[in-house]
Amino acid sequence: MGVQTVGVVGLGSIGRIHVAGWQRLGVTVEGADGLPEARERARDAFGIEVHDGLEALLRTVDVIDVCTPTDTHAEVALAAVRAGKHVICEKPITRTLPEADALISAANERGVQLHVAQVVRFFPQYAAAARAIASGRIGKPAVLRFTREGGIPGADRWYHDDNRSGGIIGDVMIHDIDYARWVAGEVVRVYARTLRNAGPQNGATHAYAILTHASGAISHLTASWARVGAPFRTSFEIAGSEGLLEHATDSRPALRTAPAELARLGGMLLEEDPWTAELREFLAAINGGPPPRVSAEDGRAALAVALAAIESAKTGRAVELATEVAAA
Amino acid sequence: MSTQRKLKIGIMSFAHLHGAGYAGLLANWPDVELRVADDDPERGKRIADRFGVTCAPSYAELLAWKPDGVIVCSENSRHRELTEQAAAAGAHVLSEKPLATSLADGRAMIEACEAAGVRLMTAFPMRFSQPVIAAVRIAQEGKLGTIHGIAATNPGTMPGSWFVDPELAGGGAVMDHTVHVADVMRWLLGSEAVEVYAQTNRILYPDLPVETAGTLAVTFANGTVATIDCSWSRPNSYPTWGGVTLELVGDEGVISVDAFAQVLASYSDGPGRTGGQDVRWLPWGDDPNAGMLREFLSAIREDRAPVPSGWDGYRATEIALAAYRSVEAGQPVPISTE
Repeated sequence: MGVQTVGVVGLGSIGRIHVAGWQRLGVTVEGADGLPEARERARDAFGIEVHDGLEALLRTVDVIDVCTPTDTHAEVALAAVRAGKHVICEKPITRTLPEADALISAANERGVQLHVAQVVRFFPQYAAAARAIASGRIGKPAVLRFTREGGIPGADRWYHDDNRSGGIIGDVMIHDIDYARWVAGEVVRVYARTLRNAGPQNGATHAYAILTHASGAISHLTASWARVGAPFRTSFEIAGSEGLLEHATDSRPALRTAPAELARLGGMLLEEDPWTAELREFLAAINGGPPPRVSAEDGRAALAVALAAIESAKTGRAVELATEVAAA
Repeated sequence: MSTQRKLKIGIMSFAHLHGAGYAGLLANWPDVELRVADDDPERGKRIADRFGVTCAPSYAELLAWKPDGVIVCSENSRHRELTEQAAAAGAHVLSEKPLATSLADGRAMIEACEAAGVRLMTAFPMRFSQPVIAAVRIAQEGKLGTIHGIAATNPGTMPGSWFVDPELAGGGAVMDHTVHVADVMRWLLGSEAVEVYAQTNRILYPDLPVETAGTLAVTFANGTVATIDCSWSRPNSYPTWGGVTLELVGDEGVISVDAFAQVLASYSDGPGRTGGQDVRWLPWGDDPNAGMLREFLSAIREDRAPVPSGWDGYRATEIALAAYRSVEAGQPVPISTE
C-alpha cells in the first residue's frame, strides 16, 4: 500500500524540482498548471501526465504537492485537504496567518497530513550544524548570522508582487527564519529593514532582520536579490557558549573548473539533493513513518516571524511576537 | 627624510594590549624616539625592556621629557585624564578606541586638546587596512551607485581583564567592538548616524557582568541602513583573534570585504610532535596599525589635523552609547544631531 501517486500543482521552478524528486523516489507523478506552456514543458521534460487544474488531479492522486505562487497556497491546499488528500505545501505555508490557521485546523479535522517544505532543514550542511548544536558541540546558541543572497528574479515573475509573495522577506528570508527557530528556539522580538528598491514593481531587493529568541539568543539575517551577476550564495555562523560553527557555500569549493561554468555540470555533489531528501521524509511520514523534522506549525511560526519582520520594516519599530512559550 | 629630527613619542599605559604592539613598531622606526610610562610599573618596565626603550617612572616624568606626541593606551574610562595631562604638557594625543566611556568625557578630551593647541586622533586602524581602503575607494568612486545597506561584523575573542569591568571599559562587547566598523561606515558614507536599534545578551559568558554579544542596526542621515555584529563570539580555539568584515550593497553592485583574510593557515603539532597542537591563521597583509601610527607622526610633522580625529572617535562612541539606550528601550532610539 502506501502512496502510489502524487499530484504536483504548479509546474514552475520549484514544481519541476519536486517532480524530479518524486520521480527519483519512484513515485508516479502527475502535474497541473493553468499555463499551457508550463504543462508542455513539464510533460516534455519528465514524461508526466499533466492537467490544467487541481480538479483532475484530485481524482487520480493520493497526495497533493502545492507548488503554486504563495498567495494561492491556501486555496489549493484547502481544496486538497477537503478532498481528503494529504498535502505538501511549498514554503511559506500560506500568505497570511488566518489562512495558515484555517489550513492547519482543516487538515487536523479531516485527519490528513500537512507538511510544509522548509527545505533548508534538509540541506546537509544546515542539518549537520543542527545536529552539532543538538549534541552540545557549541554549547548554548548566543549569536547567529545567516545570509541568503542571489540575483533578481525575472521581471515577469510573481515574486516581485509583495502581495503575492511577501517580497524578499516572505519569499527568501523565511528560509533562514525557519532554520534560526529550529536551532535557537522561539522568536519573541523582530526588527527588520528593507531597502534597495528595484525591479518591475520597485520593491525592496535587500533586507536585514534582527531576531531575538526566547532564550535571549540574537539572529541577524540578510536576504537579497541584489547580488546580480554573481553566483547565489548562503552562509551561516552560529556562536554558542562553548564554540562556533561557520559555513559559506562559496568558501571551500569542492569542484573547481575552467571555464567556471563547467562546475554547474557537477550538480550539487550529493547522492540525493535536499528537495528529494525532504520529499522522502514527508513520504515516509504519510506512509506511517515518524513525523518529519519540520511540522506545519513550524511553517506557521516561520510565517508569523516573517510577517512581523515585514511589519517592522514598514513601521521602523521592533515588533513583539506572542508565543506559547511567552504565554506559558 | 633622513635629515628630519626624530619625533619624541610617548606611550601612556599598557593596559590596552595594542600599546605593546605600537611600542614594537615605533621602537624600530628610525625617525622616532620612544619612551613609555605605566601606572603598573612592572608591566611598563617589562614591555619597555622587550623593545629596548626607556620606561619613565611616572606619567609626569614622561611628559616632562616634552614628547611631541603621546599614545594613550589606558583602560577606556581613563582616556580622559591621561589625554588632559598630555594636552596640558603640549603633546599631541592618539587615543586608543573607544575615545571615552561617556560623551561628556569625549567632549572634554576634544576641548582639552583644542585649548592646549594640540591635535587629537582616535585609534581606528581600519582606516588604514588595505582591503578596507580598496572597498571604500571603489564605493566612493560611485561604482556601487547609491549604497543602501551595509552588514558589518567585528567579532573577537572575549578579552577578559578590565575589558569586562563595566566601570573601566564602559560596557562589554558593544563598547569594545562597535566603534571600529561604525567609524568605517561614517567615513565611507560621509554621513552621520541618526538612529540605532540593538539587542545584546550574556549567553557566551554568563558569569561576566557585561554583555558579551550584540547586534546593532544603524540608520544614517543619508538613508543607508547598516548592521554591526560586535560580539565576543570567537572561541579560544578559533585560529585567530577575530575579524572585521563589511558587505556593501548598492544599486549597481555588492562588495564584500574581509579586512583580515590575508592570512595563511598554519597547523603545528609542537616540538617533536609532542602536543601543543595549534591551528592558527598567520597574517601576511600590511599591518593597519603601522599605517595609523604613520598618519599620527605625519600630522605632527606637517602641523595638520590627523585623520581620524577626536570628533570621529566621539561620533563612533555616540553610536555605541545609543545601542545601550536601545537595548533598554527595546526599540530604535534617535541620536540627536547638534
